[in-house]
Amino acid sequence: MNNDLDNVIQRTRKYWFVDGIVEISVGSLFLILALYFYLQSRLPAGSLLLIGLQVGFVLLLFGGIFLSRYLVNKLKTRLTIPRTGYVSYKRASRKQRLVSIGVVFLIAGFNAVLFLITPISVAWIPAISGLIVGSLWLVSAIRVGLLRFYLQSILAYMLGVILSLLSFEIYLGLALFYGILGCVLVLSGGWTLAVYLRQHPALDQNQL
Amino acid sequence: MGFNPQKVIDVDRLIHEPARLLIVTILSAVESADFLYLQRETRLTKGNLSSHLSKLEAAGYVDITKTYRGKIPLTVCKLTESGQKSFINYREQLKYIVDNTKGAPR
Repeated sequence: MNNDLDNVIQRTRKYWFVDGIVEISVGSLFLILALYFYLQSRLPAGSLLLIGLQVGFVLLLFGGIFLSRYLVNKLKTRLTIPRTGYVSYKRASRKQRLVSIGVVFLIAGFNAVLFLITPISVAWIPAISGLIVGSLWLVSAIRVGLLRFYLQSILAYMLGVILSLLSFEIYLGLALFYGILGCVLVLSGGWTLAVYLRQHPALDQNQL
Repeated sequence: MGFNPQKVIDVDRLIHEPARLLIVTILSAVESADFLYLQRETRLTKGNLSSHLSKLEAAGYVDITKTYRGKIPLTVCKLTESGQKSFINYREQLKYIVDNTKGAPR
């Protein structure tokens, strides 16, 4: 019976991803990253636009994250809450947040050491990106038990390795990695959203 | 160590009722959930769900607030600290009973 209760808890956690909106948002962020890396690979070194891009990268990334969070909330309020209800999730505890920050620093440190000690490792940046993105996606998949998340994490791992083996120039490799993964996430999220909207028509005000 | 029947007798009957157990389990996994979500997940009628929520609220296990998100009116339910503790305690009691009756003849 405790297992049944665990299933109910997992189903409740899964609800955040039921409409595909989060996937569309993460996919869109990946497409912005892909565009950024593509421009990095194409613009001549030292050009004003390239310097502007490099300086604005952090702004672009954090701005994109804030904007996507805002849009996810807006879309959920408009589409999901009137159809299947509202759920707010517990914020991560201080300890959980510290552990997450620790893991990020550990991965960054590991990558830095890898680049310093092995000259070949630069070619493996798409594979390392695949490892990081795939692992984060795998953690979500295990937590909520969604099959499509497992498949997406496997895709991230494989895509990274394949692009590294094809030995693209570093920025082009990253542009392809985030571009392909972003398209897959947007398509998968779009499909999920379409199915969700078909299965859950909007309720009348009287039914609310 | 022998089986303690008092643990069976002491099971929280308010949570033990299947519909209320489902409501409390859902609420234990989130910060809060609204009436519509609980109704869809438990498949209870509005009246039934209201009645169970009232009992949980009266026991101090659930907080119910009426609010708005945009223009949508929401009845938001949240498990209180006391509700959370009682649910954890209930699961431990349940585990104890299941673990200690595994070898029982069918």
